[in-house]
Amino acid sequence: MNRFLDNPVLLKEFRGRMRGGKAFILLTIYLVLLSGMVGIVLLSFTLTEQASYGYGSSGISEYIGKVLFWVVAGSELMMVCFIAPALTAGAISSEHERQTYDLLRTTLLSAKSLVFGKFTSAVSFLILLLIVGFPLQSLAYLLGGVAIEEVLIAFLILVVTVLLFSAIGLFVSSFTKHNLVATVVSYVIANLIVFGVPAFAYTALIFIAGTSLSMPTLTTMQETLVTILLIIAAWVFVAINPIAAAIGTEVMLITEQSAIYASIPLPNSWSFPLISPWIGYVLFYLLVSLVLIFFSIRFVKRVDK
Amino acid sequence: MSNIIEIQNLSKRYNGRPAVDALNLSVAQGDIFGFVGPNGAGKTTTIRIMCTLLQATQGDILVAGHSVRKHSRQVRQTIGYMPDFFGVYTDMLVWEYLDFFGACYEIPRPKRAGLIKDLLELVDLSHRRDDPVDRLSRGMKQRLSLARTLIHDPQVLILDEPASGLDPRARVEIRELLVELARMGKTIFFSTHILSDVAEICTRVGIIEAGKLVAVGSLEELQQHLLPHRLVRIAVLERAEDAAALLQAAPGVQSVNILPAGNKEGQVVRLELEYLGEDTSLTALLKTLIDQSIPVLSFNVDSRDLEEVFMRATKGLVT
Repeated sequence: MNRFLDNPVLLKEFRGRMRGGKAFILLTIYLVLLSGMVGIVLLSFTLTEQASYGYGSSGISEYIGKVLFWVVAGSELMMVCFIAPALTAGAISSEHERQTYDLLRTTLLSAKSLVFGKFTSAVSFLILLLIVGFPLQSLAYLLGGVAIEEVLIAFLILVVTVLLFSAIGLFVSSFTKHNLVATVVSYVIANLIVFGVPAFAYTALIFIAGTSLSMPTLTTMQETLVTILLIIAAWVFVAINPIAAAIGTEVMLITEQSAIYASIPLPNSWSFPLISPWIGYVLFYLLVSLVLIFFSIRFVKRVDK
Repeated sequence: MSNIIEIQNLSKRYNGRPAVDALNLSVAQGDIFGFVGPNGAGKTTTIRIMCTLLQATQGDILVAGHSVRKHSRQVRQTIGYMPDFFGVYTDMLVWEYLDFFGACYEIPRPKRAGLIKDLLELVDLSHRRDDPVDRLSRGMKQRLSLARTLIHDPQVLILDEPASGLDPRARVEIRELLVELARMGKTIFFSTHILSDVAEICTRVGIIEAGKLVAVGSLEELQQHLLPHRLVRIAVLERAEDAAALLQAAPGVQSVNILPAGNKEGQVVRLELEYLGEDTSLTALLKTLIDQSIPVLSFNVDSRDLEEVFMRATKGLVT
């Protein structure tokens, strides 16, 4: 632990980030926006549902709780998408711009310490943002309709997204000398993951639906194989997108009452076992984050040729 | 005295174009070595290789016996590097800046506070300890950078254009600091194109042009080698012709001129002679004049400046 805290880059980044009013202002704006969203949701339910059903209708508070939970989790996810790349995209490239990169490389500071220091400080700050959102999240929990495993899975997906987008920013930053380039490239990659994957999946779905109309009649076995392939492809698309992974997990929770595993019926009356998308999302992107950090260290370590 | 820096057949090529070409150079421990050359001569490239920031195409540099190719960590422990830019974190306080680099050199936390105090005293910035770095003047930032290079007590300081862009006072302050550091036993290797700095403080000079070392030695050695003829100006109250005849006959004297402006009765007469020889023989010249009772008013050896040496050594080539 002491060794971890002795990382000079981590200490410097913490000091820089928390000094002055910057962090306080960012936290305040973030909480005001989040509270505003919660307020709007509560207000709209108060105005519409009270008129339709009156207060105390059975299931309405659970429904509001669920909506609140999704609104807060969704807002936090958007916040992570926008803030994480900004925090790390300049991590190494800003050292180039400030002309301190060469100074660091002539000290005994290892590339690993530099990369971990930058990464840990950004991740810590983002997790702080998630933690300060807990009281608003707990409001949804109080209203009911949200199970503890949903809260934990949502938090896990958010934390992995934090790690992933921070690692993407850091990786891009490690081979770019300009902050602006690093930031733009990081945002493009982050947006491709969040919005590009569903757009691609939707296009692929339309294409598959189109071609299936002109396909010859299949035997049950062939139909089963095609279904398995389609299930796997759909699962992959769902598991590599944070929004789809969260929705897919929720659907599996509702339909199969399981946050871990489900079996999908096949045309030949067999069933296909499928793990919940959040597990795929967490494992896949943890691996991607580790690979990106590994290559960031390699890039920082290299000597100019 | 043993050599602390050994540059061995060092070459660096960018896309086949040589930036440094088969450079061989040694710097003895305790030297203040001035690495002089025009822009684009290969000074910064050599320094970057020496600081383990750049890979050489061929050859090696040994710093305190450690190869920059094989033992970069040991080299980094031995050197303190100050580039030709400030490289400061503007959101840091002065003490935090030194503390951060102290931690980067793995100096234990309890030792750092005392070290920072001593270094700030050395560079005369104790009164700015708690100020943000970006509020310091350019000269102060340069002194802070120098303190940073000293935080791990390196044997060798490698400074790339340490006085560039500084006002005259700040330049003198940096120069004085370098002399003080040399007195403390540090070897200083610095590149510059401010020749007066070199003339003032360097014990040895290396002149590089188009990636090749064209001259190396002490300033006196370079002067003798590159500008063997020296100009001596003598003023006498009378008997100028006798003085000229005496001087003409002395060994090493190439020519003697009596300047026309002073060639009037009752006025100081000035003579100029071109001389080729050692300093000790020059004193014999003066003694000869005095022994012959010639009233010598002044006897000045023209200090040929480094600029002339530099111009003679270089040809204006750029790679």
